[in-house]
Amino acid sequence: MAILTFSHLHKTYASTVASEDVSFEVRSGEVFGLLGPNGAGKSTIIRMLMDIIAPDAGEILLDGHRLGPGERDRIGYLPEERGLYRKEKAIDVLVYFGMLKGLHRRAARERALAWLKRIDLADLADRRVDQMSKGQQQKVQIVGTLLHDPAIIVVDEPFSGLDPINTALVRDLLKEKSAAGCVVVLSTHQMPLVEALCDRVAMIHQGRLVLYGPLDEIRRQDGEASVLVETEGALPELDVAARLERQGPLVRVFLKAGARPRDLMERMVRHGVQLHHFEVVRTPLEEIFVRTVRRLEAAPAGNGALAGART
Amino acid sequence: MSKIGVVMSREFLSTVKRRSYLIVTFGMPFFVSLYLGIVAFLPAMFMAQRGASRREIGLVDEAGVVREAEISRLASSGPQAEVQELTKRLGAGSSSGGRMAAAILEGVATNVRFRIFASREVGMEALRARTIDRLYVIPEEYLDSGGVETYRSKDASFGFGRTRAGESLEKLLSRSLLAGRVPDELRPRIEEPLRGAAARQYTVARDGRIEPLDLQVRIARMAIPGVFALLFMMSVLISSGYLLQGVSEEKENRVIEVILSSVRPEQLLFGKLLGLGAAGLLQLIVWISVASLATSLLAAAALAVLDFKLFSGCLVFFVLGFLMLGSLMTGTGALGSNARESQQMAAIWSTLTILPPALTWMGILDAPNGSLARILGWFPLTAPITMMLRLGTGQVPWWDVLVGVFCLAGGVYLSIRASGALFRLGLLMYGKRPSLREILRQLRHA
Repeated sequence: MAILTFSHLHKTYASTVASEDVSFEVRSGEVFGLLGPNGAGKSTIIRMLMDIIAPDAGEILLDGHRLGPGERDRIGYLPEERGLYRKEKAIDVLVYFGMLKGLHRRAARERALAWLKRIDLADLADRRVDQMSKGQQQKVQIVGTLLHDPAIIVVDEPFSGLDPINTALVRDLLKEKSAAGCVVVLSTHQMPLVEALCDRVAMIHQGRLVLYGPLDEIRRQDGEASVLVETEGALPELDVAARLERQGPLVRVFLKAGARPRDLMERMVRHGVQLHHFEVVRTPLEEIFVRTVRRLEAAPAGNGALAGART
Repeated sequence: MSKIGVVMSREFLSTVKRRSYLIVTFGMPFFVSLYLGIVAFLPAMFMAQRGASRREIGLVDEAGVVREAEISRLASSGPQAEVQELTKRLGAGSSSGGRMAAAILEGVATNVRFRIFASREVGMEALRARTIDRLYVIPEEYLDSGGVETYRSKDASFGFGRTRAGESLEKLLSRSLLAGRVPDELRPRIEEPLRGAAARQYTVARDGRIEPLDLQVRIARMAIPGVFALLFMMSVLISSGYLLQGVSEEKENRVIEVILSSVRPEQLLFGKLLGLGAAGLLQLIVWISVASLATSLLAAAALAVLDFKLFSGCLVFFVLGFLMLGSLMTGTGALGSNARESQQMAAIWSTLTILPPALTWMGILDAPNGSLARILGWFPLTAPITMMLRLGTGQVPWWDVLVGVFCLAGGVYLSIRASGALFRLGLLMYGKRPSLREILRQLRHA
C-alpha cells in the first residue's frame, strides 16, 4: 500500500529544471532508494517532501492526503546539509529538535538521554557541541532524526562524511527501524549501499525519473546478463556471447539478448571447454544506471524520461 | 506548546544565557554612565567657570538718560517665569543632562550686568584692556537722534550673550525713559504687556471644556509618544541585531534545514521575532532602569494611568511596528551570504522607517491632520513613529487612527508572508545570494 505518493512533481530554479514530471510511490514497510548522481535533483524532491521548498506543480500525498504541517511530525529527516547549534549543549539541542517535532520538554529530554546512552554518548550530554569530535556530532545528529520515533525516516546522503563506525551504526539503525515497520526513504548516489538496503528504487537523472521499480526486477530487465568464466586455453567462438571482457585471470562473457547463462554452459560443454570457474554476475546497479543514462542521452530529446512507472 | 512558542522560548533563553548578552546588558549602563558623566560634567564645569567670570557690559551715558535705580532693578529681576519653571523642573531631575540644559537656559534668560563709565575714554580703556566685552555709548543728542554707539572687542565671540546684551540695554533704556513720565501702576503694562503676573493661558477642548494650560501636562503628553518612539527605535535595532546574528549562525551551522523540516518558515520567523524581541526589550528595560532614564519611564507609566487611550494607542503601534520591521529585516537579512551583508541589507528597512518621520517631525506636530502627517501615518513603514507623534497631539480623530492601525496590520501580514518566502529562499542558499529573478518568483508564490 502506498504511504507516500509523489505525483507529477515539477520544480525549476532560475534556469535549471530540478524536477520534471516526477511520479512514484513509497510503500509501507519498505526501504526505498532514491538514486542518482550529484545534482540529479534528489535533494529537491526530498525538500519538497519536507515542505522546505514548494513544487511549481504536482503534489505529494501521505496516506492519500496532502501533506499538512501536522503530518510532517511523523517524518524524521536527516538532511545532506546537516548541522547542530555549535555553542549549545548536546542535550539542549536534542530537546529543542524533539520539541519542534511535538514532544513535550520532559519526554524529549528522557528520550534524548536514552538515545545518547544507547550510542555511548551518555557522558557527553552536557558537553557543548563544538567540544565534541566530528564523529560524536554525527551521532548526535542521527539521534535528532530518530528522537520522536518517526513512522517515516527520510535520509539524504546519510553516509556522506561518516566514518566507518558511524556508517555501520546508521546502516544498522535503518535496518532495525525498517524491521520495526518504519518506512525508510534513502536518497544517495552510493549505489552499493542501496543494493544492500533497498527493496525498491527510483533513479533520477537531470530532474527526470529514468528507472523505477523493485531492485530485482530492474536488475533482471535492465541488467545485461553476463558470466565470469575461467577456462583452460582460449574461449572458442560462441553464438550466445555478445562480447568478451578480460578481468584478470577471468573472462566476463556478456550474453546476447534473450540468451541465458545455462545456454552458455551448454555451448561450452558442447565445445569441450575445460572449465575452472563459472559465475553468473549480478549486474551492479551502478552499471545499469550508467547504461540507462547513456541510452537516454543517445535518444532524441523529449523521449528520455521513463514512460510508465513499473511497480 | 505551539511550535511558535517552542521557537520563541528557545530563542529567548539561548540569547539571555549568552555571555555576550549578559556582558552587554549589565556592562553597558556602567560604560554609558561613565561616558555621560564625562560628557556632561566637563561642559557643565566649563559653563560654571564662564558664568563666574562673565564680563560686564560697559555703558557711557553722555545723554544722562539712564537711571541707576533701573540698572539695579534689571539686575535683580531673574529669568522669565516660564524659563524659571522649566529650569526648576529640569534641575530637579536627577539626570546630568537635565542639569546641563537648565544651566544653559538660565544663562540665556538672565539679564546682563552693566557697568557705568564716567567717560568715553575710560570705557574705551576698559574695552582695550578686555575687562569688558562691549561698550555702549549713549551720545548727548540721543533723545533727539536716538543713535546709540556700540563698540566691541575685535576678538569677541558669537554667542547668546550678544543678543542678550542688546535686549537688556533696550529694557534699561525704555524703563529709564518711562520712569517719572508714566504713572507707576501703568509701567508694568508697558514694560511687559503680555507676560504680566496676572496673564493666564487656557485650552479649549472640542466639547467646549475650558482648562488652564498646564505646561507640565503638555510636556508629559508628548513624553509618552517620545518614550515609545525611542523604545521602538532602540528595540528594533537591538532585536534585529540578535535576529540577524541568529539567522546567519543557523545558516553557517547548516542547522536551518533540520529546523525548517519541522516548522514553517513563517512560524520560525514569528517565534524568533517574539523571542528575540523579548530578549531585546529585557535588555532595554535593564538599561533604562539602571540609568537615570528610569524617571522618564516611570513618568510614562504614571501617565498611562492618566491618559490610558494615548498609552494604549502608542502600544498598538509599537507592537505592530516591531513585528513588521523585524520580519522585513529578518527576511531581507536571510538573503545575505554572511552576517555583515545581512546587516547591510536589513538596514534599508530601519532607514525607511525612521528617516521620513525624523526629517518631518516638526511638520507632523504642527499639522497632525495635514496631508503629510496622514500619508506618513497610514503608510505602514512610517506609521509607527508618525502615529505615535500624531497621537501625542491629541488632535487625531479616532477613524484616522483606525485607518492607521488597519494599514499597519495589513503591512504586518504582507511582510510576514513575504519575509517567510524570502527567509525560506535565503536560508537554503548557503554562501551565495539568490538572483533578483528568483526573489521575485518566491514573492509571487507567497
